[in-house]
Amino acid sequence: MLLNYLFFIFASITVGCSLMMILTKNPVKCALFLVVTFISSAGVWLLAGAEFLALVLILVYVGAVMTMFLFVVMMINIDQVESFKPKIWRYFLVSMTMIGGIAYCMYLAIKETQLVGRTVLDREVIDNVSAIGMKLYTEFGYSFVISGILLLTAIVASIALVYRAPQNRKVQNVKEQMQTKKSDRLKLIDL
Amino acid sequence: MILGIMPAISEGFLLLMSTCILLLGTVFYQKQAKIIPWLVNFSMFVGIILILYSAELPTGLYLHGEYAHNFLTVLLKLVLLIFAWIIFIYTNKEVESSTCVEFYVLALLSIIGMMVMISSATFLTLFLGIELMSLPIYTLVALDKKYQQSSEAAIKYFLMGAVASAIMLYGISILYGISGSIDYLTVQQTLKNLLWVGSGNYAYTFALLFILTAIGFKLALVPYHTWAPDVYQGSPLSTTIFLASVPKLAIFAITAKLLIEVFPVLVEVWQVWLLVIGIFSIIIGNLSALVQTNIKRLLGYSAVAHMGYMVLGLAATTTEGYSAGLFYLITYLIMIIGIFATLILLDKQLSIEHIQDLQGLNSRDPLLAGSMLLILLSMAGLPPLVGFLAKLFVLKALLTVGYIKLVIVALLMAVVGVCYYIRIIKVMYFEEPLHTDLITVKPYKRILVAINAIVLLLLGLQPVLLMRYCEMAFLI
Repeated sequence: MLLNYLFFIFASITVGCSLMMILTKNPVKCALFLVVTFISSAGVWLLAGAEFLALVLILVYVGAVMTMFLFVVMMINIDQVESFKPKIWRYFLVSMTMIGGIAYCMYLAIKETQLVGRTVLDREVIDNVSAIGMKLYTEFGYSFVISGILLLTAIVASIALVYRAPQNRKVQNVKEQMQTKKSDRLKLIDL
Repeated sequence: MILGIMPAISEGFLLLMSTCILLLGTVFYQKQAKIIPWLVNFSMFVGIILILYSAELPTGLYLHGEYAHNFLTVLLKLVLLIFAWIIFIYTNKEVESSTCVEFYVLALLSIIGMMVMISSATFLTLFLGIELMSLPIYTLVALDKKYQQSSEAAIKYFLMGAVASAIMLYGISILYGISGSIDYLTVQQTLKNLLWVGSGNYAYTFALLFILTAIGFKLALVPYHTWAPDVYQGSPLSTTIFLASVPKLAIFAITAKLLIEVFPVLVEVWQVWLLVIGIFSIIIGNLSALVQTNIKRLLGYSAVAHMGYMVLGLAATTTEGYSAGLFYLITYLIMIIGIFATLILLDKQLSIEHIQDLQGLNSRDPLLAGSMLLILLSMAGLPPLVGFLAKLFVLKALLTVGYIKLVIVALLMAVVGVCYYIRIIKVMYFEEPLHTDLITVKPYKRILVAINAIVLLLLGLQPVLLMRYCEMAFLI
């Protein structure tokens, strides 16, 4: 019973804060609301018995990613950004109708369906961490490798996007010098 | 045990080669090295051979049921690698030299993602494959930093793609909630059992619609097509040829797999969805392409229309329809690669942006103009060429299931399509060129474009050469 109450508390905090994250105009506040959302969803995961994932969520997302994000947001000049205030009210009616429609469909869909509870782990391994470890390196080994490639891609992509080669370096380009024609350098103007 | 990873050997080799190119790229960065394109050619060649080797292995699920290996996956991967190789040959030296290494590495990684998608057997590998395919493409669009349009296109593409991925993930999570599993077989089994009992129908349909929406985004079908023209226009040509062609194969693979293998029970739902979305894609794509002046935008809208035809083939829900869809897709890819390749070759001298830039191409370079003529006529769907047969097969498959009105609309729209392809031909052949100097292109690329066009004619005369394999892929 207490667990049920806790679940609803955490879930409502999650939903409320994610709504606030979208609606607030100040980017720093947005980021902070996102942090709260992460923490409360970690709480939901704890209740579901996934304590390792909950801790990882807090450590990685709240501790590392969001801190970095906040850094970046604070370094950008916010006054400039603020001139692009989102005009949420313009699309209010359309979006609310759509959200209502989807929510109603979802209610219909879930109403008569029996959802499966969380999958039961093997009895031999008791704690989550070793269970995840076992599964990750055996059953999900292929997916694990692909996630690794995905991270490599992210590194290559981000470096390719932000790296700019030194602009005014004075290096001779011999090939270009050899192939230069008169017409490239010399411009004749009729006087 | 080593046998367990053998079907995935081609992916493994490409991964190895892409990391090698990445490492060598840091060494040869300054020297404009020719070694990078050679390595890429080598890896594509060996990749194709390894695919052919893996075709001999017994079909089934590998790697703890995460990797499917059957005739369809082998065929699609083979086609994917061949097309990718052709694209790499065309883009050789056309990519800006300062980002050459990144271009090839990211493109190779993206190809690995597509192969993962093609042979996915669980929703987890499916999602990872989609991400691994898309992330490098987003970057490739923005790679040319001098070009302001391309960052705009990249942001649009990225946001749309991220939303589509999120929607798909949501659908998958609902499926997991109902069936407690993420592999295709189990989900399909539970679906069948639940429907037998008579519950869970709505929830499955709901999840299916989310997944279909994401697929619609990725294929740029009509309500979700808005990104396609902008991205085609904004990205550099060497990227456009890549993103306009090979990813479609991978997305076709997952669409066919999901609909045929996982949701065979919900066939009424997805058939209606495909029919509606396909016919609207054909109508809106063709009509919007009519008024375009920018050739890349035009091709973007025409891609929407062509994907509509392809989807109609799937919507026939017969083996004939599936193979017609695959045939349509492969021939369309030959055409789109040929046309973008011609544009790439002309880009240096003509700086292609609008249709008018092609003015009087015939008198400056008869061979390229002739190849382009053949390709455009094939896209329009005129008889001796394969574009006609591809449309014919799709529409015939639809007719046998009895959708006469849809076929009539699709035919009318094909006529509309002819108009804008003919307009490009008119500009190339019947208008005077602004300059008269000849186009200089490397001979081997010129020959490749010509071969590309001749293949269309050949397949038009002998469609069995390709159709045989397309039919074999869907025979179970």
